[in-house]
Amino acid sequence: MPDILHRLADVSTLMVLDIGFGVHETVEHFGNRRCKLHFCGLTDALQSPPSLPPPAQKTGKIVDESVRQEKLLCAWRERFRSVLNFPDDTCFDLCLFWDSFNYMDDLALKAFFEVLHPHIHKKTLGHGLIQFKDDKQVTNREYGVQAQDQLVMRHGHHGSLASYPRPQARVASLLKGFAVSHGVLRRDGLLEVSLKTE
Amino acid sequence: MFDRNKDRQQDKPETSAAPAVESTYSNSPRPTSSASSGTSATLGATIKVKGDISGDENLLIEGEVEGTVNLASHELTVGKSGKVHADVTAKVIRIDGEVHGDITGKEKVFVSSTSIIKGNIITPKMTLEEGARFKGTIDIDPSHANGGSPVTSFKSGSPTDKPDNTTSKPGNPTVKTS
Repeated sequence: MPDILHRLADVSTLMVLDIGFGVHETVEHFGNRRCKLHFCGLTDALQSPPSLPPPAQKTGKIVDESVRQEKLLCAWRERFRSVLNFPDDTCFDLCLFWDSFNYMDDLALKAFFEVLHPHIHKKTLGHGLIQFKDDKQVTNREYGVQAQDQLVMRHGHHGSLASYPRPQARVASLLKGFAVSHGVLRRDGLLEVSLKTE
Repeated sequence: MFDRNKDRQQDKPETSAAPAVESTYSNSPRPTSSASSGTSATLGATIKVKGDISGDENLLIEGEVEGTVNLASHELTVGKSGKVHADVTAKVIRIDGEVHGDITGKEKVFVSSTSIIKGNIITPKMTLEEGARFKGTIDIDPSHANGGSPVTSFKSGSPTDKPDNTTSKPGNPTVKTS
């Protein structure tokens, strides 16, 4: 994070997307410079995932699972379009994903980054926390930026959300437009990653 | 309807398109700033206004407003019981209640932890109270200025989840990626 914020120091009007809710530390930190902060509170949109009716049983027809998956992907895209409902010309310099990757299954994560993709540019930077293994202690958290090298973390309000621990490579393959530029394994087991656009 | 000057207000309807608010809420501890012209008004908790509100004094809204609120050189407070479905503009704005609409604070906006906001905030100086969770957009331009639960902070980019002042050590595992 220090590196990311340092690189964005000279941006005249910093466009920031925070996937979580706005907390006072983040507002305070960015509040002394010209900026536009978008807080999308994504966890609200993940509370009741879209689902499709189960395939009809004993019809004798072959069920094409890929069609079902595509329908589900479309449903997720629709869901995220309503969350990332920005004007067409909105482009973010910084995306703070925090640990949101870990609350979306592969399909949802893919859909989310597809919907976000029009709102990033070639110098957009990102930050996220990837969960490798199932561990309740690293879920249900909310994050904020206190200083260039200091983040804050508090208990969240989304304890009921399922988490999807995954290897870094699998997560990275689903982040359309982004690549992991650097990662630091934290003692709590989360991998803190800096992202850049591909 | 309004706290003081009740006598003068009695002949006025409780709901009007653009109420000329003349009363005060001098007992209220907030807001206090140089924006005050000495008089303030309160829209009581049982009052519902449909229309546009403008004026040259501070205003505390505890009731419901649907329309617009414009106090360009004064202070607006949306109290805990206040419900505003309107775009609001004021010199200083404090939100303790509910606002659905865009909020333009010419000097400052304060959002408390009890607030519920659906809309964008435009202001040179913004304060989000500790414990508040905000969803929406905040457009901050400091150059235009005139005048809960336990928190753990940690060093970003270091492999520790220990509290403040924990520094990264050279021996800590660092994963270099693409």
